[in-house]
Amino acid sequence: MRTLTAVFALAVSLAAPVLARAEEAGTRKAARAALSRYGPALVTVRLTVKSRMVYEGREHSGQESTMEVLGTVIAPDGLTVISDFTSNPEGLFQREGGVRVETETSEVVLVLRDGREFPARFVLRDAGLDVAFLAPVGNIPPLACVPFERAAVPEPLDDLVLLTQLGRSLNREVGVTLRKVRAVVKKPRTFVVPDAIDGLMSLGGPAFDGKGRPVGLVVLRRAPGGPGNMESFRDLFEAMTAVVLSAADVQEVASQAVAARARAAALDGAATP
Amino acid sequence: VLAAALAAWAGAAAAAEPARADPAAVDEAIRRVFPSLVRIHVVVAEFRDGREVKEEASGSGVIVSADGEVVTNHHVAGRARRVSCTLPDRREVEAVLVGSDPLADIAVLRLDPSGRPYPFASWGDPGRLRVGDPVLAMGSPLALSQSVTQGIVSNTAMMMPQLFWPASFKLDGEEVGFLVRWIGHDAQIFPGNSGGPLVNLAGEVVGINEISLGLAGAIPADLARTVAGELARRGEVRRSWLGLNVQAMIQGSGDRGALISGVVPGSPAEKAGLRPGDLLVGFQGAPVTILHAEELPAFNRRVLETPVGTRVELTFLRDGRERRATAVTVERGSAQGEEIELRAWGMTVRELTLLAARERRREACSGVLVTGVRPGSPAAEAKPGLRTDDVVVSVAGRPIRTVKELVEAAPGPAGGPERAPVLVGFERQGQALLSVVRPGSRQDGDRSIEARRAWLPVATQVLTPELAAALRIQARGGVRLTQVHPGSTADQAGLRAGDVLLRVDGQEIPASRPEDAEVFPTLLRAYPVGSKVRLEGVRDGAPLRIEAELVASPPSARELAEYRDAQFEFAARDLMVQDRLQAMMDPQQIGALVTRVEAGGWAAVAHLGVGDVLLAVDGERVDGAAALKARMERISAGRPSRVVFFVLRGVQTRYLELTPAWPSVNGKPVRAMPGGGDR
Repeated sequence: MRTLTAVFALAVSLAAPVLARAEEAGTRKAARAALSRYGPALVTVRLTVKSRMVYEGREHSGQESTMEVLGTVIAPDGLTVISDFTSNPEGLFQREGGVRVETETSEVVLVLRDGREFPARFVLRDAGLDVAFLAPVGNIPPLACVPFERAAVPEPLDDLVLLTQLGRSLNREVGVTLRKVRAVVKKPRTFVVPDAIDGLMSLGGPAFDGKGRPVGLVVLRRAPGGPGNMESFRDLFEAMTAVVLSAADVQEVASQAVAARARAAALDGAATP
Repeated sequence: VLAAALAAWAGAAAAAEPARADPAAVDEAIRRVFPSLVRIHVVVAEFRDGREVKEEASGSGVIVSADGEVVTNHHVAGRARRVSCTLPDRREVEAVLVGSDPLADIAVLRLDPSGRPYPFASWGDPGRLRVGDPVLAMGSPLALSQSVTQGIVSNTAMMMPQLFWPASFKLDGEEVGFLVRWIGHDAQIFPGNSGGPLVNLAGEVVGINEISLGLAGAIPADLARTVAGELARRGEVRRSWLGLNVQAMIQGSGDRGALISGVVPGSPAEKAGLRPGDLLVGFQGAPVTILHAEELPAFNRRVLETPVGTRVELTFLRDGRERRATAVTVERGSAQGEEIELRAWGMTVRELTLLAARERRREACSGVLVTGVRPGSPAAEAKPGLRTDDVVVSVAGRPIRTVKELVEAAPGPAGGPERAPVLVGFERQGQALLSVVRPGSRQDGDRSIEARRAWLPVATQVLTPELAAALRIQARGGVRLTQVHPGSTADQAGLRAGDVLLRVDGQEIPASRPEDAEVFPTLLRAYPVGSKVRLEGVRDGAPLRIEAELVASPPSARELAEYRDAQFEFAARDLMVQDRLQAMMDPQQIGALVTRVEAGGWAAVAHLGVGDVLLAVDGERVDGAAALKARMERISAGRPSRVVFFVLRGVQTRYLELTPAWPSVNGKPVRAMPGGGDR
């Protein structure tokens, strides 16, 4: 029996690295497949925003600027989700009383990797979950999308595949990163925490498990009650963390976005003379 | 502005010890001039990032005729969209801009004729001023009421120091100091003094204060009077141009003449055969000698004041030989054309005047200069996008030479996503580029809705272990109600502020740290809207069991009806429950919550504030955005000169008086934005 056990242990110890390598290779293959299949669903969302400060009721300055953020198309009709924070970063620094910073979006354009552009508009936001949904104005040709309804929930130390989009200087190429799940937060809802994240550029991009199944969307999780004093970088990091919002949660809000989009389109029709 | 900027350049000026003059003479001078001082409040148009924006500012001026002509600086009132003047007797009088001249930095206003006759000041002779003479600077520093400071003449030929090279100050493209040699004095002036008079002890205006370099500088009265007179008569100043640049003689190169440093190609001077390096020794038969920079403004003035179209005789030295030439002056025009905003394009443009065109080696009126492009606008989003300094030369195949032609060729605003494309030709750094622009109005603002979720209309705080112990509650977590929305399902269910909730439908509320603030709302969010939940907890030490209905979370402010007023430049929306709760208003409070007040707009000028609740307009009650819209549309049709807003600000109410300048039939719509300051 002891011999049998020893042989089994030896077999396992020899097989483990081989299995691990096979698993790694499988993950890489799945990651590349996700890149190939879902990469076209990553779009640039170009926003023209005007920010203004209000102090004691008086409005000051009003700088307008154009910015580009990452969006993930989640339906062929172009319904797209982004991290709400990326479209309104000043909102993070709002304070009770005193100076208030407000951002107003005036132009929204979906920019595909092939250069096609479609005017769009925000249809629904969920500041609590840090997601904002936008939809093209009018009909557009079907777009590639990430089907969040077929979701997976990974465990700690599972593989995580993140897709993100590089900037204009790199031709808006889609990049892929392999990560591990550092934690799965259950309260107040499920958040998958990657072991590392490529800064804010990842916000709004999709995450997949080691088999290439959608896990959710990278969003910014903020500490309840606001960022606090933020007197140090540590405070900043503690107050904000990039996490993967579960696909189920994205889907739940997306169903409302579909209805909101239909209502906005109906209003357009009603306004047409 | 000039005073402030130049003072900053000069660094901290030493506090001047005021010179003491005969008090009786000072009193008499003040008595003569003080009644004619005006404090000027202007709303001016500025152009930034492809938009016309309005700013409020304040300056000074002096009445120089019983008809109410006021002389001030161009940089105070030259771009005014609205002007009002406050007299020393506190009367506030509307004024119109008669004309403005950036080269001399002089502008003329005319006060409302109904107030005639106005007290006015007399001009004096600045040529009689000597260094050390006592002078008085009068005006409204920092927008204060009329004030006087005293000093002495420090310099009768003050120039812009070369110390600041290569920086130079320009007003609408005109070099400050090209024409003016200031009276330098040490009577203190501050931002807001600009345009106010410098007065001698005879009670005469000897200058118009313009700059501060530590020492203040006033435009001599003879120049100011001449320019103001022409502005009053014609609304503009016509000047001659030869295309000749001169500088002081290089040391050791002679004791007469002025060095011709440049001749503009195609100019009258070039046609007359003049070349750089020639020494100009005579102009119209009079000798010319410029040995020092201080002598340049006087020469420039001689040329500029020569009647347009005059055949002038020029005597110059070349290779030691004296030569003669004649040139016919042409109208100089302004350094820059008038700037306007093309809203549908999202850019600002100006015409290429003679001087501006020459600087770009172009013919006058050979295109339209882009002066700013609004980010995200059709002009910016064209491929390639238009940029500042591009020159638009064609639209849809039609050549564009002037702003008028561009405005006529440009398609009007078209709403919606489908904007008609138009082919635009423009030049950039010698390249002839083509682009396709889709002019049109911008999209509506973000009207997205906030996700709806099941919600209990209460506010809560987390029940920390410390709080639980202090309240003698045995629990590992929960929430304490801090507010119950009046009239809500929570209120109807009997919940009260102070109740502690520990379980929802038997499930513990796992909230025990401040970071768990979202736990309770997230628990509820899992229920469908309209569900009834069983809440268990503690009230005043006794067990509490209540069933409450969850409702849909309230709409965000974005979703509420909002009214935007383009004329008065503000926006207001319906009040919502959270507004009343957060501001601790009466739960039944009605009105329209002010959400936007564009700086420089008529609402901002009247000090309407974001967060004010508009209760009534001209005595008519406003109960929301729709009522406000209806009221303002009637006001817009009636175009009254004054509109009174009754607002709630905090716990106080107040009346605000709005005095709009309604656009003329052909006038541009009023637009707005940030800023403010003293000039």
